[in-house]
Amino acid sequence: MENESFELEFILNGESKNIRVKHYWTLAEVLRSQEGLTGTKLCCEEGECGACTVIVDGKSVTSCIVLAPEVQGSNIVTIEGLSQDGEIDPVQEAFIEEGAVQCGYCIPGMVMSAKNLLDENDSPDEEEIKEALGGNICRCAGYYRIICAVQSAAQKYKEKVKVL
Amino acid sequence: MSEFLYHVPNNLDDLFSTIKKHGSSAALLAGGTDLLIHLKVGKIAPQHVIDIKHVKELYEKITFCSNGMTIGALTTLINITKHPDVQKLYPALSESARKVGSKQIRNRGTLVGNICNASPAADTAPALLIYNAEVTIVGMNSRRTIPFESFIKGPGKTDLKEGEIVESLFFPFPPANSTSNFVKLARREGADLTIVGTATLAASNYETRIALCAVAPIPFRACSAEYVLNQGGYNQQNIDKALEKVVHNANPISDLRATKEYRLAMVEVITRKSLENSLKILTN
Repeated sequence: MENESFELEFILNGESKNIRVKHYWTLAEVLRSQEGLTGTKLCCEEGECGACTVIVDGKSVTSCIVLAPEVQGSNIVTIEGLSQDGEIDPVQEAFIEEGAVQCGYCIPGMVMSAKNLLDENDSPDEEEIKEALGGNICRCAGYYRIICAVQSAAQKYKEKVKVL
Repeated sequence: MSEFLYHVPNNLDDLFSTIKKHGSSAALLAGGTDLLIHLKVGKIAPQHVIDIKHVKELYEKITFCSNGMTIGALTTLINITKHPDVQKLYPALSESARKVGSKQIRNRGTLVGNICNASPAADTAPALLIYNAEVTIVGMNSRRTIPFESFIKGPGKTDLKEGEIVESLFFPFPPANSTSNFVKLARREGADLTIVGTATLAASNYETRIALCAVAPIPFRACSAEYVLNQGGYNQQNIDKALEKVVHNANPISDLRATKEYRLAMVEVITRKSLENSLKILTN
């Protein structure tokens, strides 16, 4: 069984990938160990803390409890895929401006959950933000500024749309 | 995580022959939000994992017919919470699906997976009980439909025999002039297992249904309490009498989330809250 591998084709941050993975590897392991994208963090490794959140086909998922073969043909966006043309995403900008980052370990997951929320709902209220980020734990307990950052990011997205 | 081979059958015939070939050394995967955790902690160590998400006969959509709603084996919890007709017609189901795990979990996890795990604390189970949901089970040469009430046999145990899977769940429309809801008590709002969960349905003709999770080995209907309200209506004295019966029906354990005594005390509080929520809507 050790020699068995699975041919996995998927799109990662806009780039087509064709790699061989073990059947029992998780998506998080592939992102970090095979693709070197260590922005996706591993912490609880059982889908409880949200540090490994990435977006698969438009949906936020905890990549530590998704098997790599399950994402065959999927479109995956990680924290590394948010910046465009060298510019960071408005969600990332807002996290910096609002001082929403303390130790930083939970932040890539927080940003991905926030991004997924704002893609679906451009003006979330506080309750909706809390529900969307409920699966992301910040052990520095910096939730207040994180919520402020998501509200500010929503404004930024709207202004960006106006400019376009 | 132990090593295994991943299989991805694309039709039911393939699925059943893969299951038959590997028998008890295989585990089925839908959303994987429980399975991957069981694999990681070593609770199970199958040699084969069979992903059912690409079986073409299984479906993700929610459909309505003249007498009710059908939810497929692949319907995710997030799709249930977002569906406006589910919110309107089956609010206890919509609300309980929203209480499962986190958004990331609801994006992957399925309702059918939630009930097949047969956790005593399954948030969606009380809603299935009050709506008299039916489970359609298919095997290589078999097909049967049973009430959800007889599907769960014990903690982690269901009526599924080897080689069978749940194809869909059917929800008859709730009675006319009725309303329903789900109330969950947990230590925190997001991503926590339930201490007490109650779904209730109340109708203008006093038809009442009450179901609870996390306070007995399996989720259950509090039939003797329902009878009190069906017969005597919704006055305060009758509600108190019914709640006593609900507490009598509960048989909780102590665990890291709450003691048995606390759970018993909260059974009354949470069930009263759910009933009052229903009655408030009914009288308006």
